[in-house]
Amino acid sequence: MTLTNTFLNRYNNLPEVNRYYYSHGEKKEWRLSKENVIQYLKSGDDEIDFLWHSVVFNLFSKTLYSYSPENYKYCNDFIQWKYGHYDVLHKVYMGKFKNFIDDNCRKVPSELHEEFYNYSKNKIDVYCKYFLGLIVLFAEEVCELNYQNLLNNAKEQDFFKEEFSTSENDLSYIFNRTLLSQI
Amino acid sequence: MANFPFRNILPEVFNTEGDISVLNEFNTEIKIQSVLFYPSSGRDINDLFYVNSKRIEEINECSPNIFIHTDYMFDRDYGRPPFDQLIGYPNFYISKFKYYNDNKSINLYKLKRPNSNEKKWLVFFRGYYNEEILKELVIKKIKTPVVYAICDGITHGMGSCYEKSVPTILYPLLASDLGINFIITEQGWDSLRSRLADVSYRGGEDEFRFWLKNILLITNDHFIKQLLNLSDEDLRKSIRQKLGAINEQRLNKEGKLRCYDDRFTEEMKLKKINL
Repeated sequence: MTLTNTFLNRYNNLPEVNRYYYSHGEKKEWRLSKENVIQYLKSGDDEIDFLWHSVVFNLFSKTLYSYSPENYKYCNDFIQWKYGHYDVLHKVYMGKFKNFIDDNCRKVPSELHEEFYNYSKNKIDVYCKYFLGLIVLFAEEVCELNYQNLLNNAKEQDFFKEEFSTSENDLSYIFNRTLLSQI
Repeated sequence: MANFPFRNILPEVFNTEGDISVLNEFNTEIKIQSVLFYPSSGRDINDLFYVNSKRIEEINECSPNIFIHTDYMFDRDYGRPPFDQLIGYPNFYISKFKYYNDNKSINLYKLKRPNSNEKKWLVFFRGYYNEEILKELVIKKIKTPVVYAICDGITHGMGSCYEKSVPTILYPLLASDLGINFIITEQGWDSLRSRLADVSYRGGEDEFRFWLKNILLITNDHFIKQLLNLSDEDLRKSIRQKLGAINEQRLNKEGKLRCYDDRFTEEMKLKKINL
């Protein structure tokens, strides 16, 4: 199953920073300190997967909000109804996708980063499928959401493109390229 | 303003704000579009998303485009976000016109769904009793095929201080005047049956008699008058027979979400009014 209660519990508990207000109320943003990231990366593959799922879930939320806003409430309501987590889509990472995956995770000791990089690169396809799986889940359960339409709407927009690095070796670049190849 | 169907209940002195073209367009649309009525709506806007024939196919041609909300609490903008932001992006692009004074307002919203040509209207009466609006709907012969009645403060929650109140569990008795075909509510037959079995008093008389008298302030219904000639026990029995015949079904079942309310999703029912 793409979304699980365990994941949503952990996602909701990521450390929050409230910076400002936007059109739909208080913005709920999460961030992780360098020490937090090191702890996750040292804790094995499952924890790396959790970090990826978190940043991908955040990307899904931001993409939905910007490029398929008419489905945003339906997805948020469905999560509350099915999993009991209220307004969870409003919680997003405080920066861009690349800021977390490329920049933050590069700040850790080089050996740890190398392990993270190699593990992640091998699993990029799985993380892309997680993103697409979220779209399929909501499309089946609660709204008219199509991943081809969504990604086609998003891919040429600066706001979406800025989520990813333009350096070919960066993980966010590889993720974006792999994701768009699914359209 | 001459065409505005609710001009009779405008405050004596009022201000206006917003786009006058919204008012002009609304005055045309109200004559041709299907209407939903949501009494004591508070800040809830779930009906705008879930009450349509795509999600609840049973309502079919009654699928509303005009949503009339009313709430006596004038200042519902405590907490965040303010109501206009709650309804705005990512939900709708809004155009608005409003009449207002210090304790009442009538807010007209023209709502456009993002990535769609779909258009809806919201009329939000703030500072008005539900019964004032019901009376206007009856006088103006504006039919409301769908009533959305979630968390009625009179019989399920806080409220009921108004001596002319009519609980939504009795709205089926207004069906002929208002053209009600469907009621969406968390208060099903079970809750009404137990209410009827448990004798309570308001204003020194049986609460159902009290409420029926209030219905007569809205409509001149012959059946209501007949009921009031009965003893308390027979009055309750007649209501039980009449309202017990209403067909109702749970809206969300077999793992499918058709209609959402973060308080009552599991209890929500669709009543088909065929009295």
